[in-house]
Amino acid sequence: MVEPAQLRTLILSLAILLGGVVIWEGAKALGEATDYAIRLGETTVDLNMLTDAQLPHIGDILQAFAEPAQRNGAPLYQLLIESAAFTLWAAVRGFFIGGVIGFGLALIFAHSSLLQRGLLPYVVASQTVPILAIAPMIVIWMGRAGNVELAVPIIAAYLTFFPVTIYTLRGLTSVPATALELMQSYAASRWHILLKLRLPNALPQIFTALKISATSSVVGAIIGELPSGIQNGMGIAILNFARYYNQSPPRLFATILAAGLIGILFFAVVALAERLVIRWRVEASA
Amino acid sequence: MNPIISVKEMSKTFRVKDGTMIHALDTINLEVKEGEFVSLIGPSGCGKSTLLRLIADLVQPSTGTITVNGKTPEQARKDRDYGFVFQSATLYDWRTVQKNVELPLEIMKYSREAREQRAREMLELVELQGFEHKFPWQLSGGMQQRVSIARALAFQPRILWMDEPFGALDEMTRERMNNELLRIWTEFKEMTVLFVTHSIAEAVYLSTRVVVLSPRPGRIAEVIDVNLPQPRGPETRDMDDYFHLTSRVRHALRGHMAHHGFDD
Amino acid sequence: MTDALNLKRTHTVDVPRTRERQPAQTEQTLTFDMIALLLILCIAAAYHIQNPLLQFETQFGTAFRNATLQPVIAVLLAVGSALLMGRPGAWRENPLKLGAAAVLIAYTLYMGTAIIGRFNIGGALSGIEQAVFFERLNDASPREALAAHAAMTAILEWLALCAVAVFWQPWTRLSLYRQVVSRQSAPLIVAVLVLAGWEVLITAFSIQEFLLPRPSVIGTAFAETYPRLISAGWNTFQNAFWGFVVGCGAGIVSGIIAARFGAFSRALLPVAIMINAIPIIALAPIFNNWFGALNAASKIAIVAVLTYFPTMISTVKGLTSVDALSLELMTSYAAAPLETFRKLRLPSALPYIFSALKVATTLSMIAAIVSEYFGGSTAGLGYKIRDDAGLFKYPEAWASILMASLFGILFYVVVSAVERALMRWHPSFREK
Repeated sequence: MVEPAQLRTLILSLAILLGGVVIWEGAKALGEATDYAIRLGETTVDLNMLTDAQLPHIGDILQAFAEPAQRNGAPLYQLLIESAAFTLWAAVRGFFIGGVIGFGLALIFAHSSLLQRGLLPYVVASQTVPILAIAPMIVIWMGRAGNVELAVPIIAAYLTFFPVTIYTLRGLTSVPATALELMQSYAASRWHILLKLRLPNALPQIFTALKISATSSVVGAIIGELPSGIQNGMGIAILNFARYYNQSPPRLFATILAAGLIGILFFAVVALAERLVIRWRVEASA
Repeated sequence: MNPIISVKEMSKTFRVKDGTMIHALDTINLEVKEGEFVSLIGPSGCGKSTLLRLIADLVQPSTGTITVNGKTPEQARKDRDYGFVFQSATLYDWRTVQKNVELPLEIMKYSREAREQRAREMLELVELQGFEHKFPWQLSGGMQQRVSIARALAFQPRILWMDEPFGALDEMTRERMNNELLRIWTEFKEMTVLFVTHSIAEAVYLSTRVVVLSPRPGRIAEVIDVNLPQPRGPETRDMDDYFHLTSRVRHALRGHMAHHGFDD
Repeated sequence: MTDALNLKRTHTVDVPRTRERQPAQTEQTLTFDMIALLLILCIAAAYHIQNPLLQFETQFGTAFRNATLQPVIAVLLAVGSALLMGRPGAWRENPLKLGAAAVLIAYTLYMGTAIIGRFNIGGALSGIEQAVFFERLNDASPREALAAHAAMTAILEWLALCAVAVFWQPWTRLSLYRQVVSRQSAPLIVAVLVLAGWEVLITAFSIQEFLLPRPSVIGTAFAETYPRLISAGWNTFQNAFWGFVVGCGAGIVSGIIAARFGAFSRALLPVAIMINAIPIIALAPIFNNWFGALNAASKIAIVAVLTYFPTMISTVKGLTSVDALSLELMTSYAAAPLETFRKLRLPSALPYIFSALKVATTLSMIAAIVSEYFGGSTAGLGYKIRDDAGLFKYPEAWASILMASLFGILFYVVVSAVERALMRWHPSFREK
């Protein structure tokens, strides 16, 4: 059931999006009206950024979806759906690999302060390594291992596991002292405390992490495709249309829009799962 | 003498998120004279905190009128006629004890010297000298609550609202805090205190009048005058009158509990 | 990087916790060691910068001849010297320290005039033309005179290093170092084990270098090319830094504006979260078209957009999730909205803002590197990594990756230090 307040927020959100579209098209109209330059006394403000080559009309971008991507080829949306499916599949596999690794690390860290002290600083430091830089090496490694297919998911997993580790660990260890004492008064085993107390307590945090991870796994998959030499996927589509940008700017914008939609889709699926799993929380999660 | 607080025919209904209405307070009539110490007592959920918040202009009434110091509650709030002490100390983590006490003075544009001097005086009053530069987390719960009382008194308000200020403290600390509060109230002559509590002993020990509220919707069930001699001290608790009054309050509360059961 | 390292359990106990903090002292003194080490680096770097014989040509231009890095090193040299020496009252009576201070001040002035003022005093005294110091070496350069001059300045450099030792006195601080090592023993042991295992396994299974070079090989490559790496890293870091400033600045300001209007911010958050789910990196080609691939603005814009949304979202969340009672307190004082903002909302939003800023530090460095993949200047670390990997120079590529992480970590540490200074009251900094 949708409450009136929620409905109002939804309508306002849509109004904000519409406002963005209006600003976009308004800027275009301003550019056209002033011939892409505004003179203020002596100085001239260059508005070349608003030409069709730099900022296509939103209508043109939407239209680009229906037009063929190559001469006499299939329409762009068909190609994008194929690429998006490829990238999303890689992202989903990366999401699962990263999620499992991240969760496993959090479990280990929660139960051994020695390992936590020894390894956690490196888990944190690992995220300062530019993933794009090691992506080519991962592709070579996986090629040697006879499974190039898995290179992109692993790169996505590299970005995914970190938030899962950090948030799960925080959730597992931030159990109220009294709740823990209650469990101990039942002489509950470590396993029971984990299953009945720590995990439910960590669930909201885990979902916060998974929502972050959903987005970053898509980013990871797109970045991973760039140096991988794989011929399909959104990353490659973006590279291609960037190369032939001058021929048709709306195509690149349409591709980026599609990339955004995958990210939003994955995020929405995880957010939906959160709603289904965590029913005891009254407030929407942070 | 004109009453400093006057509540006439006041009712309050809340709308809860799922759309149902909750009738919290029903036709409340209450007058408090200057210098009185009035306690509001009642079972949990009877709307005693809501009544306090209504008079303090933190919540708006559905019907009826409230006058504080001859003005509307909003005007009284804007004129800074009152100080408020909450159930939790509500100190700002990022301010030292001294700076927490200075907070209302900063907002009321006191000079720096006046602020510092007043804060020191107030901390002395609640016996926290030497803790000026500690942060709230370095103090115990009782000490934190004393800081919040010092903060409420810092600008010498004519009226003090207290919403279960000692509810979270242990019995020993609570009795000590009660004595300190009485001492401060005697020192601040003419200060009116409106005190919400769920402890019968506390209400009788502190007040000049106890207002007993019935459960939802909250109505004034009985007003009991407390004629125990002033100043009060630990020996007050041993007086026959004290026992007599506490059992009167208890009976007043129980009478209404019997009618309504424990359904809240 | 969220509050990764603050995973302490919180519990409230009704006893005064007025224990004095002892570790605070150790932390402070370790800062002093950091200053000393930084100063040593700056002394050596300054000597490098003003000596034309030590400038070697690279693909990326002359090493250390980095127009924006040079003045930074000179300023760090001055600031580091001042911090190390402390107040004159402490050493005025001690002739050794007095002499050391004189040497440090002289060296700082000498290098300052050479690097920032572009006037080499030593060169003027030995009769070498000033122009020689600021141009590339050619056949006509007076190499012998320069060598003699370099030997003279080298003496001053060594004296300056000795002066640092006089003030630093690391030998008196051994117990402190032992303490630190024993406190950090777990990560140190892990580091040693991993590096040793890596080295041994790769040798034992004779894995080829292009798959994974040995750490010793990477270390050698790092040591050999570090001036270039610092220069390239600095170029990339500048993009990251300005993007960080623009993106986080805009994020905080617009977050404050949005939070001012409750209903608006509630509606804005879902939109912002949605936009945040878009892989921003995909915008790189468009920004290259807008600002020109060679223009740093195209890289700065990527970093700015990437850091903007997390910062804005956190700022709005921080400003709107204020404790209800604290707000009522402000209402009871009839505080003006601006006052409530300054005295309540902003301080309680600071933890949120800073955790976003800390995430943004590493994010901005990574974004700056990745943006270079889509074309543009060849002077940055991202281009260098891609180029080295393309030419199968894997040890060099790994050394560059190491430098990239070091810049990211340094940026993170600096922002954390600012956070620590601004939020001493926060629970995560209370007990050690």
